[in-house]
Amino acid sequence: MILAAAFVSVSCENIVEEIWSSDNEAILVLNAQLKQDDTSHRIFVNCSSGGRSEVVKDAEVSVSVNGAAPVAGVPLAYSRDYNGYTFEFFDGYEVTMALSPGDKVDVKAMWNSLSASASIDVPEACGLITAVDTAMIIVPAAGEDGHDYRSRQYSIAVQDRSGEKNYYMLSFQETFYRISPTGEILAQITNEGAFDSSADHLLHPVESSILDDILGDDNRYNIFTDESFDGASWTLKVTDATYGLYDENWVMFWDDFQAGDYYSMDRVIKVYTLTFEEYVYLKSIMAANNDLGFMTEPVIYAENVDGGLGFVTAMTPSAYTIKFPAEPYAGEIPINAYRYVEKWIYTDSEVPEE
Amino acid sequence: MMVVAGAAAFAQKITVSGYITDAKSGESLIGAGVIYNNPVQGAPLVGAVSNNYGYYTLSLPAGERSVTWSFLGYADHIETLFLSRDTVINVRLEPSASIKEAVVTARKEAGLNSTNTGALEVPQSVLETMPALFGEKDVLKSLQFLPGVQGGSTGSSGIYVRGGGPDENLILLDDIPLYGVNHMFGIFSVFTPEAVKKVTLFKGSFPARYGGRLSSVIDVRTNDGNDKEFHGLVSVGMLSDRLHLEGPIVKGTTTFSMSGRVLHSFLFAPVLRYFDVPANYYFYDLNGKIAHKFSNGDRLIASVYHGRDRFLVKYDDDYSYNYDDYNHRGADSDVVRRENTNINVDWGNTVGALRWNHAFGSKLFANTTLAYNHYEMDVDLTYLDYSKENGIETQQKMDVTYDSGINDIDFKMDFDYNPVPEHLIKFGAEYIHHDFRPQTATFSEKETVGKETLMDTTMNMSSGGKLIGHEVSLYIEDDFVIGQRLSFNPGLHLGYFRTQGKDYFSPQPRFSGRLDIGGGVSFKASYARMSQYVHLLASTDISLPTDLWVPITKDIKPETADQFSLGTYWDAGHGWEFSLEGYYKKMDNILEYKDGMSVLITSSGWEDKVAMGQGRAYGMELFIQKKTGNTTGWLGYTLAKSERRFPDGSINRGEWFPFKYDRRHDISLVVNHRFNDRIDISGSWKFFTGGVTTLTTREFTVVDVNYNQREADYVSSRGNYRLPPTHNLNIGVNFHKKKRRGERIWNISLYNVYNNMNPDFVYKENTAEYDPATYSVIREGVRVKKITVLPLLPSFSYTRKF
Repeated sequence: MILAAAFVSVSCENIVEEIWSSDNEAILVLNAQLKQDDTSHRIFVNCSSGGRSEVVKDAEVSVSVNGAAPVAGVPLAYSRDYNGYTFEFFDGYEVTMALSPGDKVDVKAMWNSLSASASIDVPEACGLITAVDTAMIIVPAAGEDGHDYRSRQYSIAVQDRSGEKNYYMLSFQETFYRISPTGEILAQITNEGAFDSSADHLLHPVESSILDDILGDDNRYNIFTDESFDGASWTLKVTDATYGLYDENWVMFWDDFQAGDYYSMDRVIKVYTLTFEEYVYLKSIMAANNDLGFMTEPVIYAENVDGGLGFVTAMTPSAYTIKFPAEPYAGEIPINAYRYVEKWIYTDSEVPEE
Repeated sequence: MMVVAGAAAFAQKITVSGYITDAKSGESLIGAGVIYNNPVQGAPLVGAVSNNYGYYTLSLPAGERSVTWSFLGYADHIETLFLSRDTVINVRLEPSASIKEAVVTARKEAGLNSTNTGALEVPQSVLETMPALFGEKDVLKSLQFLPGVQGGSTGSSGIYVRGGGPDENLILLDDIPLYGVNHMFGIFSVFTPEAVKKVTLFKGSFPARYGGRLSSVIDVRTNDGNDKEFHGLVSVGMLSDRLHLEGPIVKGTTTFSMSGRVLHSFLFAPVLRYFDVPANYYFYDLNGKIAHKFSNGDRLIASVYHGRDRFLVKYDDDYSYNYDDYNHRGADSDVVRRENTNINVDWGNTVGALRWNHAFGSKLFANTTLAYNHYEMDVDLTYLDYSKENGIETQQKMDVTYDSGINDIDFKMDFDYNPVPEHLIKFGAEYIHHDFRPQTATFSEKETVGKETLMDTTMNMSSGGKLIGHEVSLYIEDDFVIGQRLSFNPGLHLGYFRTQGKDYFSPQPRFSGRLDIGGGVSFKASYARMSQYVHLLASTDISLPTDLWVPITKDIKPETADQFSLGTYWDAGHGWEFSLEGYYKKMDNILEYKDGMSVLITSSGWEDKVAMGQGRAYGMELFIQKKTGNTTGWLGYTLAKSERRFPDGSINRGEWFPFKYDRRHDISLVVNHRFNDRIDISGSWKFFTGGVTTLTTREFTVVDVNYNQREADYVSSRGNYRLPPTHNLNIGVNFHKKKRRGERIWNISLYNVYNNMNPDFVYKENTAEYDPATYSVIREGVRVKKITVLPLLPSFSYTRKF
């Protein structure tokens, strides 16, 4: 204590320099993650000025493919009412167009006197899904609420293209159907999702501790490289992620089900080929979760925008579709719905709450 | 006297060997010269140098031969020998103020005339007289004044050599690598000055017997002890007290040497408790050595080092009260409520070694070492909340423990073989069994009300349990001379490391060569490949007990470095030496925390938090030294650049960026002047370019694959801000007075004489200017602030030698 007091008493604090971010000139931030298998793309435009970055809702956004006439982006502004409140949303600019591997894409945004642009190539799919196997498994009492639960496990075989360094992202898209007794599709909902990959050694090479879990999942985008299987096949083992089924109006999809309806699901498993820069960019976003101030190394994001900041990229998937057979709706939310929870398994001493 | 060892063809060779020691203390002299005084004018001359145990061996033609034994600071010993068979001659040199030094070109390991590049010795005289922070002389801090060596923040004993990191220095205490080399967050190193006999720094070429770190070897040798009479030293400084004792146990054959140092606060513990000061910190070091000479060819040396840092907190609170008297405290209160908190943080090294020196005949010398090296850090926190009301007792007890540590068992054999005068061959083998325990933590909580237990839980957290490593190394090197002008030291170090079922094999060739063109001018060139199997995980620049040493794993490969050095040297005579040396170092598989990562809280999964990448460092070092006379010292200037790149993109987008300790310019000036036997004065001035840090320059927006947007800090690149330079002048005066037995020394030092506000610590904070009328923000920004921990600081120490 005496020593500490001695140090404190003699130490002096001085300002080395003040750097005013308010003095920063306004600059556009252009972001886009184009998916080759989708025709609807989102472009995001912000303005970084002073110490803030704010959404720009009235920019001129255009996308041109292989030098063709540019397609204008349409602002996705809408409002939603929820519990008596109205919420305003702005989901960027939608551009509708088809992309093919090898395409050269020019993305441009203009706002007031500012402009920003990026030119990118749509990559080829270098990792092909050659097989998918699924099985139901029982996950012992480590699950939520301390219960055992059943989950669907996926074994996904990916064949890598040899002789090059490739970067991938595993994800899925699923479409859930409400079907009438006559086979008519009454409603459907499509979700993008990410598998729970915590047990896969390629996606999660190191076991995390409780403290690491507090700091956040370290590979929530399920990105990986071919470093350990260059030119060969690798089987990923993942399970269903845990999230609810809602439609765009935040209404439980199941609420509309009637007795006699059927439900079914198509799940499209995708392995996207990413550019190296995209791989790094996603890693940076995940790393930013761990920010502990001065004890943490700063996060530096990939950027490729001329005249501004931000990152524009494209990714191309290899897809594999599993069609689950239709099942009758029994009047209550089915616990056997291909989802993460098939059936709670209770021990003798536990009684489920009504 | 300058003597160059050379090749000589002798018909019948006789080997002269033995130990060279100090005549007064019996202490072995490392690096003392033995020269054959060949009467033939212009004939190749022959010499040798004593090794780390003071042992020498020299082959001479049979017959009557004149030989000189010499060492800096000692009078020459000249003897005429009548050689007809191999002879053992142990020589005791008398200390002297002589400025002469016999230099044997090809056999010196460090300095201008050695074959090695970038090899320097810190003279003990300089170490003793250099001005010191708080009057505490420090081996590692004195090294920071050598060119190519940089320190961390001002006042710390961190070492960064030729663009390398703090964990890339092999710091040897009598041949045993130390892990924790700092006390008090890096302000002091663990070496007690009185215990140290010799310090040698290798930063360019590395003799093949060294391995395991990339950037430097700091070889610290300790005293064996006086074999004639009992001596000692007591020193009282502003912060610590030191005691050193040495002497014969059995005169001429068995000696002991022991040193201790402790921070004053250790003694103040009862006083602090009396005044209810809840916390205390102290450290201590203990060095001990016993050496026994069985015969001329056999010596056994046992040594031990034990050092600890302790931080203690004991905090007791009594919130008891009576219903009608809130201030009534004690067990008889109506409501009894007490809280007891105890925190004990304890970290340090324990090293024990047993050495056996044996001379096989006169040409082969062997040293066998068995050592145990233990480093640990323990944290123990207990908290008790006790209350009693209406006869019902309630207790809540928490216990948190956190441990990490390393246990090494080291067995090595080193041989010096001198078959002919032209060759000194060194070879040997080493096995180290590493047992790493990076992190284990337990948390337990128990809550009781009356006799009922409401909670009783224990949670264990471990970062993966023990990590075992097997490290084996074999080496051979040959220090040989060709004629009078050329000398070479080629060598090979074969490293092998096995961990987690994976084997790493690392051949590390070494080479250095020296060409003497006459007139005291020489050129040297060297190449060295080094490998490193252990890493230090540290999140901050200061040395913290939570810093963890971890080994390579099946996924983390050994770090490697290839270094090329080239230099020109001039021995100008009268003790003046000049050198200009350049280097280029390429590093692979070096580790750095990825963007957004830290291990300060948990080291689990550390492999995933670090990236393996490349480094390159290059620079030029000018060194002008005056070694003899009443005025000694040196001027060093370093021009350097050090960068890192991580191709996997996990740091700085995969682009090159400046290393945290990249410093373009570094100037060191050290001057000691001895006025007379009673007063000497020393000064040191250091200037270095500031390191780099990373600043956020604006906010922008990032979007992920699910179209989630979020505002984020925009950083143009890692290390995008250069900190201001550091410079400070230190002055110390020593007042000596001879006593009837021994000597008294008063030291008065001024640290940072002109009170420069150096950036000892730097941090960033967000700031804003507000309109005083509306309180609206006018402008926002980042403020870089520096904390100067060490402004002008006077200090003194009192030393009594007896």
